[in-house]
Amino acid sequence: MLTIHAAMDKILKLSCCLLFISMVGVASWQVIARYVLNTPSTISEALLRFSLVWLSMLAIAYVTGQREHVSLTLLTDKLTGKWRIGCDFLMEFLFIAFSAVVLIYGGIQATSNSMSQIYPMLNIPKGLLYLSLPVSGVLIIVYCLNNCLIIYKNAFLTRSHAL
Amino acid sequence: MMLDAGIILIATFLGLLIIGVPIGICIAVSSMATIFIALPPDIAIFTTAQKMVSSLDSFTLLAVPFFILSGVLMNHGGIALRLVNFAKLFSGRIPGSLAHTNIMGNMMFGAISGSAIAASTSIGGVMVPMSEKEGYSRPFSAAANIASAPTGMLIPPTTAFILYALASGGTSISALFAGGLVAGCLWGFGCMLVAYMTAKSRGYTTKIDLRNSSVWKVITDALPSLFLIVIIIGGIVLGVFTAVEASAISVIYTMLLTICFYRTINFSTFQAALIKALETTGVIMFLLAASAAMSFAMSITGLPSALSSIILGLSDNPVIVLLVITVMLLAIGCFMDIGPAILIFTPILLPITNQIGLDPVHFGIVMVFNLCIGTITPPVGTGLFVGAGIAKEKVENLLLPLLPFYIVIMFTLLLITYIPQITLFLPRLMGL
Repeated sequence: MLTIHAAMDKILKLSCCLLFISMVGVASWQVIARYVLNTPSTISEALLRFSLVWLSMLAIAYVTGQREHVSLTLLTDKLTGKWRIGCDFLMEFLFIAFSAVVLIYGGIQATSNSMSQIYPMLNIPKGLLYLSLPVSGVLIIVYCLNNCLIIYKNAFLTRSHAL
Repeated sequence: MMLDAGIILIATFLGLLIIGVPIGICIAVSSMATIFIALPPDIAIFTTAQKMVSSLDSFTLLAVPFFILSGVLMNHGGIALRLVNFAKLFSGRIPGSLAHTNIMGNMMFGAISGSAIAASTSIGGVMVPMSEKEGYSRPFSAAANIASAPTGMLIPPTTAFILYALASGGTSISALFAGGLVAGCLWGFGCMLVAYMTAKSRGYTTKIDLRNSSVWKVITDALPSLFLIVIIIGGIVLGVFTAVEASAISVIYTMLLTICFYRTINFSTFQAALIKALETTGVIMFLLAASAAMSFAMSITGLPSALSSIILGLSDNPVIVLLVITVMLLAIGCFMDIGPAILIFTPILLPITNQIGLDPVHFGIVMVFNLCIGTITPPVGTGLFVGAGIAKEKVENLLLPLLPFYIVIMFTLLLITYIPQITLFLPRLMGL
């Protein structure tokens, strides 16, 4: 499981970084095209929006894997033992439920419903935009299962230490 | 109107929030629960998925990851000391010069890096120990550092205003930036006033100490990084480029500056900066997508109109309505981060302030200013805790020295809330 986690981290980091850098390039190109070449680029805006949705959904999955999403830890910082473990499991469970229902189930519906629509300017099916939801959902679920395993192992280890 | 749906929305949200569930999930799950009541499950799920994607499918939103990336690059690029030296040129002879240097450094660094925490860590990390060596009391230096840290979230470029522009349905980012510049500077000057008074009464003075570097060198070191602010504000205001294009230009500019000119960023630090920017982007985008689902859920419950009739029912005097909203925002800011607070409460509060005739640009600036205060107050002000950590002081010991700063900041808040011309004159002057 841990090797899957590390491999996913690596692939996600690489693809997101490449996408991010190319977006910077395309956006700068748009400014140059508008001013220097005097030919406003119409495709670049659509391309950037499309990439932004994908970048966001992948970044959301990546952050979930790192457990870096912001939360109010005023109370949970004081929790220990069983309660702490329970809360940690609950969070992972909520992420899994949310991904399964909204991102994967809802995302697949949205994708298949809009495959016949065309995303403006790019001339690709609009479904490809919604495809980012189930992809991100699957990644989040794998990450969360992995996090659960880590929580379980840690809990088990600390308990044996206490004994 | 569905009252039970509203109760479910609020109860689920607060319940999950309190047990430490990530805010994005709190928003998403409570919204789903609400939408399920009103719509058949299949349609509810489909609509939520669609709302999430369409909130991300926005050209304006591009400015967020780009400004984050340029901020992180600048932060990794070691500009803190350069800015500190530069600020000393101006504050060298004023009583309490080191505190003034810290405050000015925070204003400049915060603006460039877009992060209050980064500012108070980098600038305060240099200035607080230095001030102690010169005989300043440590709680006072730490308080000056903490109090001035949020200025960078008001001085452009800042993602807070971009999020507000999106949540409010298309307020001009350029106008918000221009007004935020005024508000942020007022905040900073207020802190400097407090530092001046304290330093004068305690007899803190310092001579200029530029650490063996000539004035010219200090200026040429710092100006290129400050030029970023000029490019962005100037470019947007003169209409050379839009806010989104400005954000892309600022990434290119910071890359050139830190890789070629300062030579502080190499391939591996560049990678680290990209990943850091990616993480921050992921956090913000999740909040944004989830709050799109929430505003749909809200419209089902009719909560916004209920709240607005409660607040407007209290009084028809705009002064009092505005005061109620200010107190509410201060309380929200005490417990919530700026990003989620803007995304959740803008759609609720904006119709109310529109009704009492407030300019949306003005309200945006007041709202961000308000929420910024929460970052440096107990119980969950990150700025306060990080600043205390930097100074190696207990938070309790800092509250008394922070008090005069809080008073001046609150006074500034009331000033910009009730006199809209203060923040609106600059955007108006620029014809925004």
